[in-house]
Amino acid sequence: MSHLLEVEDLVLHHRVPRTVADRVARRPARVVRAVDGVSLHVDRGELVALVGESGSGKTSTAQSILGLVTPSRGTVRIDGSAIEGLGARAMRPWRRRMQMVLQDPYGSLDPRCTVASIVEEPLLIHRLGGSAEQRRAKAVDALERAGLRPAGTFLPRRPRELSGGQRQRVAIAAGLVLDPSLLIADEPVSMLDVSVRAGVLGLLRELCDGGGTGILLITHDLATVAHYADRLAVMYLGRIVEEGPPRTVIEAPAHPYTRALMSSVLHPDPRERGSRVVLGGDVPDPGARPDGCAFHPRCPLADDGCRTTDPALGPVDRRPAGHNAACLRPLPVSRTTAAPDHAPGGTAGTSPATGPGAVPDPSPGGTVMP
Amino acid sequence: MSQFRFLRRPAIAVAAGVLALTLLVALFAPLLAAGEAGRRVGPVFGGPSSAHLLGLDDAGQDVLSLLLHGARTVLIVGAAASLVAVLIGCAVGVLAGYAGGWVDTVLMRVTDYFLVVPALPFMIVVAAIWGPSLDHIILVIGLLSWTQMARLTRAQTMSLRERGYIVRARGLGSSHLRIVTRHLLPHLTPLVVANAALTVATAIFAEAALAFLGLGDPTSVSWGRMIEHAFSRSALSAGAWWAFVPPGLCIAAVVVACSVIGQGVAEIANPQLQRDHLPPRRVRLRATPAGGGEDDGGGSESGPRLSGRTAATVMEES
Repeated sequence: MSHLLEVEDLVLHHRVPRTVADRVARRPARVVRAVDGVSLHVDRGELVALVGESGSGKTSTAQSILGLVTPSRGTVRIDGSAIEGLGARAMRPWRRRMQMVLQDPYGSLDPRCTVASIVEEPLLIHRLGGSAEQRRAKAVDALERAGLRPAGTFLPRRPRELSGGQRQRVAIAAGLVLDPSLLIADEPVSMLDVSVRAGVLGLLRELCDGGGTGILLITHDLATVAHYADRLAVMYLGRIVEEGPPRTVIEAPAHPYTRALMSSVLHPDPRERGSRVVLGGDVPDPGARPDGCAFHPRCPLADDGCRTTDPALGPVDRRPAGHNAACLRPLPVSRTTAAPDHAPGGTAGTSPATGPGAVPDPSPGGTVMP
Repeated sequence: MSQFRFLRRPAIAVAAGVLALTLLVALFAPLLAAGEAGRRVGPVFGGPSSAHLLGLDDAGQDVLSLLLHGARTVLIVGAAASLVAVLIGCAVGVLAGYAGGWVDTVLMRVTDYFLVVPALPFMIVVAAIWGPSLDHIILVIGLLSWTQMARLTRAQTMSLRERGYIVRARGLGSSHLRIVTRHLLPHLTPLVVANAALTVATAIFAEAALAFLGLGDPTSVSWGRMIEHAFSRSALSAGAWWAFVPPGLCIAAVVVACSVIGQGVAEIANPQLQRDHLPPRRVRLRATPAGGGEDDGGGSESGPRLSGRTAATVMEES
């Protein structure tokens, strides 16, 4: 049986127009590799989290899947049918099946529209929902499923009268009204207060469990989603560098980048400081991808091999099946990190690595100890 | 009545009053000056009197009656030419901004072309070739005044195009027509209204200029034509100021009123245009006490001082 969503070797390159100076100097056109060979899949009732820093290509991946940009290469399949590069008309039936929730609940709702017209708009666009009363009933149902109760009081309001969390719920309701099988949520909680994040994420989780919707959740906040996701995929510079079940990815990251992401998460207990891994520098310019492993200039463990060989995503030692990483020097499973009592999200920070095969302590230029 | 809140500004309220008065006069001109326009009622250049408050012109016609009737031509030309300009400008601007790519390039080059055409000589030539008629004047003014509108709507469209709700509508499979009519045009309206009011002002001015040059519609009365008649029939040397001063003042008043309203709507739609938001008079830049800047360890001087800087500026409200 095919996956609900299957992305294979997705590539999105942007050509940077050459300036006159470039032409005079005969420099070749620069290519920004926003997405550089991403493969992932989402099944029904599954919540997959795509995690990465700004500029790692998460949103570009989502936009390629949604057909908002045309990928340079690769396939996107829904239930086994390839949909990438389809024209607007051919894409319409697929658009009905995959909906999106955008990052900014302040910008993604037209300030001039009422909640009712925002939620009913997908029905109008796809000429579904029958009469005005039926459409209204569906909108009310979607709003209530999104946790806005009583829905009737929200219908005549405009986005500016709602709080951030309520707006994001309206956006989710507008995504739900067509009963999509796939929901792509691009940073749905990053603009929300911490106090309402859990509510929105819990709602997404319920949709997976109850309605069998597949969700691709895009975020930069590893700790928050780890609790809700069935699988994690960590992106760096347009590629997936590590993927697997949240538990093992977070408790025993194989890729140094994942560990660095994890250690950036604040710990609620100030005594448990763990070892902080602070990466030097920024994400490199995707227009000038480093040779070898793209992470090597920032990696504390990089050696000569990393500078020349580009590792492929594959199984790692002593990790369960399905936990893959793209690293030549995967981190060992650290004994002290096993902390089963901890909630998966946020708490299982990488503790000081000790014992044989432990992570070497910071190397100059790479990591900094607290 | 929140839409009419802008009337609370005195300048805008006065401007709106002027326009409303002009509109009323234009509507009721036949009643106010029944049968008096176009008819000789007294001596050539007869002075103001109780019967003819603004005197008589070169043909012995009542100036006040002509003024009232002229308001119709002025408003029709202003509104119709502005409508032509708004339609063309919006179509070009929205299409260019929304489609982007080569469509944008081609349309903007065409706009640039129209932008550099010297308007008045072009209007004169066209009016002379097509023959003087109100339709032609409206068309030629409209065809030469849409460039500003096109540039403004294009810029705004390009910015709106990337807004979340438009991206969302695209992702939903919304047709382009639906996106433009439902999500784009409503957000362009304030900008378009503001610019349309400014276009009305330039259109009225252009009509007056054409009429003064003798290229106006000879069958209709307009303020520009009144000045032209007064000028060509030497009202100036006859000392008949009442033949040209009132129409001139009327043109000025209506043009200024339209500009004030256009500017006001634009400022309300986009508060960043308000330059008097922080009047420079109220902010004074003051150098911190000199001398103590170099030695960082000091700090013995009295008065406020920002360490590490020789002369820091402090903003204070007076």
